[in-house]
Amino acid sequence: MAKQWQKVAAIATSAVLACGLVVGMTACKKEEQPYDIEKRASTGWEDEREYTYNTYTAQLPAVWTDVNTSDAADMEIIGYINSSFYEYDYQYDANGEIVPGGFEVEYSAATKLEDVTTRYAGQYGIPADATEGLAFAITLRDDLRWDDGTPIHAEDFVYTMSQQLSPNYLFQQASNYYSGNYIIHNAQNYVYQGQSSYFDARSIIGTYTSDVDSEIIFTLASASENEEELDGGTCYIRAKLGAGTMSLEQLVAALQETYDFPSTLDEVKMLEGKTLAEIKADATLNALWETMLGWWQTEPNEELDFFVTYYTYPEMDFSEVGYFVGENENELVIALDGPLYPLDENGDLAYGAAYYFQSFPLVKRDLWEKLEDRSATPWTNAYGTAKVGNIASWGPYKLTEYQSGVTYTLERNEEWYGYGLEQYALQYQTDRIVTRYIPEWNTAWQSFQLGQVDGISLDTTIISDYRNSQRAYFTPSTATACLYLNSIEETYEKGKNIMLKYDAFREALSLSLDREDFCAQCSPSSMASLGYLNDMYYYDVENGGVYRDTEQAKTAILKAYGAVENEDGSWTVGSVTYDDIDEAEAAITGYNVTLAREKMTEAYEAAKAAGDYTDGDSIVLTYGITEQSASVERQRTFYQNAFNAATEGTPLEGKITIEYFMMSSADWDEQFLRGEYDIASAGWQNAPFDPFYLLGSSQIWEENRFQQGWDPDSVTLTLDVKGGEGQESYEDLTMTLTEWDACLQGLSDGRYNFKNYPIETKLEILAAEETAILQTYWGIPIRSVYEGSLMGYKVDYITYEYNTFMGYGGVRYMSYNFDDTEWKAFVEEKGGTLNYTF
Amino acid sequence: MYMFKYILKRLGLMLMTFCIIMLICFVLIKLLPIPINAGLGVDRELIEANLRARGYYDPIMVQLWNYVKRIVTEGDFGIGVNMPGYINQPVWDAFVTRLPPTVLINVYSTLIGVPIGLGLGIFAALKKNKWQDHVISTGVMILIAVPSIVYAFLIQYIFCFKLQWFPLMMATGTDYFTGEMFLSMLPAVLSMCLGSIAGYARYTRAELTEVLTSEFMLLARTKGLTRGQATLRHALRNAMVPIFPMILSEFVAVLSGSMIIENIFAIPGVGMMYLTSIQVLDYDFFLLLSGFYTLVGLLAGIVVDISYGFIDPRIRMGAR
Repeated sequence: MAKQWQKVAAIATSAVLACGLVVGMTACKKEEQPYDIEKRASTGWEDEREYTYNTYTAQLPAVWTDVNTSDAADMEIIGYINSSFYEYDYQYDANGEIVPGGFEVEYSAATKLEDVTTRYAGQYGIPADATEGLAFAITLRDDLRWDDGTPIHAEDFVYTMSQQLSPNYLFQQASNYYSGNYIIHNAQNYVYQGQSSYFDARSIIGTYTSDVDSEIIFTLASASENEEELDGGTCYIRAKLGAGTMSLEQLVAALQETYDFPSTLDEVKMLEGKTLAEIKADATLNALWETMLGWWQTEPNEELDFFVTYYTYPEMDFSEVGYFVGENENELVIALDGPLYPLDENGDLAYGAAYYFQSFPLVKRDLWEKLEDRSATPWTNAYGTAKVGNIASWGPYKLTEYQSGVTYTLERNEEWYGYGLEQYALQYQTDRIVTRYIPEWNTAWQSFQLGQVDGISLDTTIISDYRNSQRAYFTPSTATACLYLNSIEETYEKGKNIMLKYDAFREALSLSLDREDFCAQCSPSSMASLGYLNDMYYYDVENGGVYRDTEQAKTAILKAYGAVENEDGSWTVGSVTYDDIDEAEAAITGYNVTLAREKMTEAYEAAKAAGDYTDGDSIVLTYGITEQSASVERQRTFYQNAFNAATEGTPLEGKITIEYFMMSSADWDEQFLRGEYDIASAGWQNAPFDPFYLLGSSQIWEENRFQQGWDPDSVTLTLDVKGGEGQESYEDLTMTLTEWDACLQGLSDGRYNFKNYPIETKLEILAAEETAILQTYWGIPIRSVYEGSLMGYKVDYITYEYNTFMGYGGVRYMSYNFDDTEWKAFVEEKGGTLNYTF
Repeated sequence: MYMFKYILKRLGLMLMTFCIIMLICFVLIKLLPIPINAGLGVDRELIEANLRARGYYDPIMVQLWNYVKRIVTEGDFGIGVNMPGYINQPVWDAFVTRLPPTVLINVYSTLIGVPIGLGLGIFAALKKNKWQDHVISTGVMILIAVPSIVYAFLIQYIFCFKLQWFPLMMATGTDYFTGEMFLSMLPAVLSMCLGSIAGYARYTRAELTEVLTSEFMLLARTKGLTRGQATLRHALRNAMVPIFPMILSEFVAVLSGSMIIENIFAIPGVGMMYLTSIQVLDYDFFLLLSGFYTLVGLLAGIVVDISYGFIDPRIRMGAR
């Protein structure tokens, strides 16, 4: 008996000791007063004391040249070791105070930007009668140097671009110069030179004549089905119809169902892989072809839409590319295939100068050639990777230490032209930037409290404790997180996800979501969002015109979420009428459980009538995640509760279940596009100065949109289009969404070109497009993404009011409340751990 | 001679098993769709052209042949395609750079864990059913019940953050054999070896307790050996027969299970790399790391089997 008691006592003692240790260590919390820290102004780069900015990253930059990467993490280093030709700066009022939202564009590494279109008219694809917007001369400073003192001239940029576009390297970033914001003349042809493959005949041949019959091959099959025979080439009609990854069988079935396609699958297969000459030579095949063509063709050259053709890009010398040295060794000239307007009417720098021509890639030639490895296919180059000796700097800082997977250090580059310039006075106080790789947020958080890193992002687990801290700030982003719903009908199953095909069901899901509540519960630093474009999108950068603030954008939201516009211009939201559109928009939440239940019932009745739903069936929706966590579970629970509420009292009550689907972090988007799961939380961002591009490219373009099974051509809009001076106006113009988008963006396949129409007209079209897409309920906006952060006591940004162009001023404007020695003493004085709750 | 033949045979089988496993890995991963990360404004065809030039679209057997040929003739294990931080970099270089911390952490973990675990087990066995045994058994029970990730967070919070006895993370630099570096590795090492210590202690106690009650121990004592001598020379040696292989297998298990610990203590090891290579479908990284872990596992199996013969001379591998 005594032994039993001994055993119990020993176990109890051990357990108490262990618990005591843990509780003791975690429970003791010292009451503290806010620290008395005076914010000091920046003393600039001339201050001789030591100022080190310690930061962390969850992904260490690995490639430090923009020739070879556009990864956001890599840009951390690239941003410091490169310079800008033209850059944004704060705008100051008469009192020297920063103007909120304002900006200026200044010269930095360049001293001049000149429109030289007339100088090169008739060359580099520039029409002989062109007068502006197609060629620009950038005059570089004559004191540009690498960190070892080697001078930099325009020829270095030209050499770098020849490597950037080299067909031997096939760098992904090459496409920045022919499919991004502008097209450098012949950039694509240069990088594609020598490549042979099957391309859609429409884009290669353009104009049909019977001479090409033996060169074009019929195929309606998908890229994967054509992988072996035709290098994955697909015909134009696939892109035109938004058929994407559909198999041949799926495509033919869809065409038969939706477009009265006259041919059977077997008939299509008979034509597959044959040239038009072979088809015409066979009476049976020719009859099939004629029938198919008759179904499709309304305009000339549409024969080509069914075919691919083999094409080899011709060899080309780099001198044919629109990127060359101008009239002197410091003049870099860019010739473009489409017009840009980076200068205002006075010839001064406009926002576009810093937006389009902020910088071009630059490598140090001798180092690049030394590190080139021609033995691999494609060639590889260790420039800007692996070790400090593999990179050179021409920016304000240079890389002085790098340990893979651990840390990197940047130190002041004394050769930088900016140190000594008046425009950088009292800036760049930071001597050294030390970045530590810390993949685990919790470790970074403890490191921050120990004063080892000077800033940290706020995790959802602590945000409620720190959101009111004086050191907290919230950064908006251009991203709007949406819930995208599976639109691939072939993947629908009765008893699982087939209800998604019903508009009323998807609308009910949207109406069931209280977005404000979602943000409060699941993403406290975000804000509820009802549109695809958030407050960060400018339609008029120069004048601070934000799309979301326009009447058109407000109307888009009101219409999309069921508000009624009255004849007197007032709006009725629910049962309340508002004279003011701002008040009406503020009243819109997108959340209406009563209406959601009505829509659920409507969807139930429609599905039951169609045989897609039988009483008692379950509705199982799979929610794509990469890892299970408390945060993900909070979101799933929120959606589950919302959907349960929407079905309460309806025949679908308790029938919806959300299950996890473990998706691949590398392939999650493709998996969703294939319909492997039903709910994806995703969103697009960037292009903050071009809402027209972002909405179209992310929600309408087949190659990007998550609503892959939805056809934008199935939605038509009828609008009045008011032209400006010398531009035609149209009344009751009806086009599909795809066509409206092409016209709005001035794309080559658009029926009209409204790109340069008055901004009011463009906003009307954009807003109408947004409403139409929202009302499909395939993509449901949830929240506008903000990131909460804490700034350490050691450093301060110049302002904590976010500026789209300048952010918070970055390291350039960063000021220090402590130098390195003072900081160490301060942390010790506070007991080694700092409190950021106040 | 029996042993030599046995080792040769096992090595041959190991090689065959390794090849089969790698073949399966290669074919299965190549059957997955090729991930193409093309964002807005990125030319998808250019990315495909790059991958095509690298042979990604060749038939799988052609790719396999090229892969093996490259390794054998050039020592080229490929280039990272999607691996964050290693895109366009040779995977072998990345692997070699990041292997030492992983190996060191595991070696230290074994060097610390084995003596402590065995010591506690022996002590508990010798003090069977006394209070010392109960305390050790309770501690062992707690350590086994709690996953190492929990220790890691607790150790980091208590010893690194609150008490500040150790740094929060592994020190920077590649000089792995300095006092500062060792100190910075200790939290991770402790997190990893606590579970092993518990395992060794429990197993040793169980084995030794059984051996200590054997008749030959009575004989040893009656022939005049002290209790310590009898325990050391006879009991422990017999008990080690099942314990030693456990140490080796534990080493392998720890080696492959350190991914999360590496993350918590910011250790630049290969553990996280393996996990990430699977998530982002970076084929060359995945294959190299799969090969590494497969080889370690297979080699450990052979070493364990052979070790029986050295620990207990009565065991003759391969003898009829």
